[in-house]
Amino acid sequence: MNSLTALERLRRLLAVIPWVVDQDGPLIEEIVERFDYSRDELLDDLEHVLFFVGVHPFTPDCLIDVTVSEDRVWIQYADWFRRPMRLSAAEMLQIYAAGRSVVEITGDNHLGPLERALTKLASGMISGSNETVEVRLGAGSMEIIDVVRSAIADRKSIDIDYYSYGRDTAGARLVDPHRFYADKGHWYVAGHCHKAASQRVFRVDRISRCDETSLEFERPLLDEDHDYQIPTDGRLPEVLLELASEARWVVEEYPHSGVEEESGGKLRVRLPVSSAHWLERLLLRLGPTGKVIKWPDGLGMELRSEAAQRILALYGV
Amino acid sequence: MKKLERMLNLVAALLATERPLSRQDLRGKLPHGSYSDNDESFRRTFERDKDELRSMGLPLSVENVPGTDPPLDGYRIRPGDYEADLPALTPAELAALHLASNLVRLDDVPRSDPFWQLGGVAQSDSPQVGAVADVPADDVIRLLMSATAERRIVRFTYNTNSRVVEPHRLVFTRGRWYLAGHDQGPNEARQFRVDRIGGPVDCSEGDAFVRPEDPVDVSIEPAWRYGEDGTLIARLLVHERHIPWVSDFLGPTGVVEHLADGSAIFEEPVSNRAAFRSFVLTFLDGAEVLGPEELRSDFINWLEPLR
Repeated sequence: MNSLTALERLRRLLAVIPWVVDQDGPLIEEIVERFDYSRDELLDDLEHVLFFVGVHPFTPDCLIDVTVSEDRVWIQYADWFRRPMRLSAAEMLQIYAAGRSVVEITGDNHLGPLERALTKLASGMISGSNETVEVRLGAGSMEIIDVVRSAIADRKSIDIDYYSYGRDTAGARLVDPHRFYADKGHWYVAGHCHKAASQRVFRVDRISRCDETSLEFERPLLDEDHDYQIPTDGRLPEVLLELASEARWVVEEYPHSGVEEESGGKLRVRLPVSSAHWLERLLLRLGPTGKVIKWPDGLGMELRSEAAQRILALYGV
Repeated sequence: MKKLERMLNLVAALLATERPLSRQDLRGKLPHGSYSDNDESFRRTFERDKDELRSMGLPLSVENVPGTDPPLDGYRIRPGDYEADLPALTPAELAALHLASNLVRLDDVPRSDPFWQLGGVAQSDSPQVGAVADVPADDVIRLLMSATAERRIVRFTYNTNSRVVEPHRLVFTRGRWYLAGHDQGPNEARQFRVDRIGGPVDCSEGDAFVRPEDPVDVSIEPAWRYGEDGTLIARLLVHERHIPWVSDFLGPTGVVEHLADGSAIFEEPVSNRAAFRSFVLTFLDGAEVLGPEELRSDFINWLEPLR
């Protein structure tokens, strides 16, 4: 806490002063909690800084009056700081847009506190500006999202029908759902898959049925930083792909562990391969604009020709 | 004297004054010892203080000091620009808003907590939750947010062209930020992927354009619906295992026929054949282009050399 700069302390004090003035002697503990102040720093700022603040000529009637008792504090005569500083348009919009996107997920009705707060917030924004920013987190069935969220809260396993994109098969699975989140426009549920006997991530729009069971599970410690992304540290097999210049989108689209520019606008990129079907799709889409230069067993160009044959068989070719 | 004390007194003086105060006026309005007696080091410290207050978002206005010739820069903060103007939020409303901001985090590195200015949130009111989404919001995004809200015209480079845009909507969708607005150059509605904006974004003063009744919105339709290839209606047979996500993706109106084996036929307008082919290939052998013949043979012709 003591690492705060003078500016950070200034910004916080400008918020604390009007709040304390309004509260008529709030508990010091409450200020500590609300404004994330350390107690020592708060007392230091109140008794050794604020006590000397005011306007010219700094006679007692022109100074802020601070009274600190054992556990409470009073501030008076801080007329210049009677209102907190207004939030910037961007700050208001960030809070507003986050709130709106949560309303979309939770379906909070218009009488709920979040909706009421958003209405008040909008009334303090430049007219019409609350509609200018929107956060769309993901598509997916609200019904399934509701079951997933309530199962996470209840710590109940879910029984799902799931289409696995990597394996290109569908089937039933029992999952202990740990976390629900959005990434790149899709909703995901991460949890322990009983079938795989390990941690897995499921994309919500690939779940065709989701039922909460009566099976209770023990929640593991929430690991906020758990990385559900495709690892690029060599844990997965990697292929080296040569891309023509019109196939540069691959580098933007997928996690990779290195890119090199070649002559003629070509690129070479190292891509981790999470499943053979994923690589099949990529090679088929790239066609003549991409080829595998180096590959571990089973992930070479033969993947592409086998997949092309399977698809062409549908067309009687 | 502590810097924090000097800054608080400076803000109080700027808020209390009804007329703009010059640098020297302000020096005289602060307790002795706030600034150095040396003019040059006073000037440097004052300039830094001023920049820091601005960086905090304090609405410091600069006007000529009346009656000075040559005119001197005068400073003040108008209480109306500074003071929050929001209906008070109840503790439950504030807690709900705070929870929402923790569920959907729109920030990279918060410099301070905007909830302090709303009265702060007691931790006991705000359960610890894991975020459901981290939405990147860097300086460019914050700048564009202010610009759309305050109706500032923005200038930036996009695909090596310089653009002058009246920003109407800023939307995060499919994992990316998009800006939609009126592009003054070609005088038409456009949308831009924010991560492709190159270099700095310049903003005009506020209120620089009128927000139309019907603002330009961000539209993220599948790529094959827009193109120069002439529109065909594709008939696509989709295997049962893909139906839930495809229905979500294309919209439920795309299904024209459900078959007994659980598969379904979708109809989709196609104006960009390469994009459509790429989409169909993601199904592997879980989908078949039934027609029209032109699209079906396009697809076969693409695959034949690849087998």
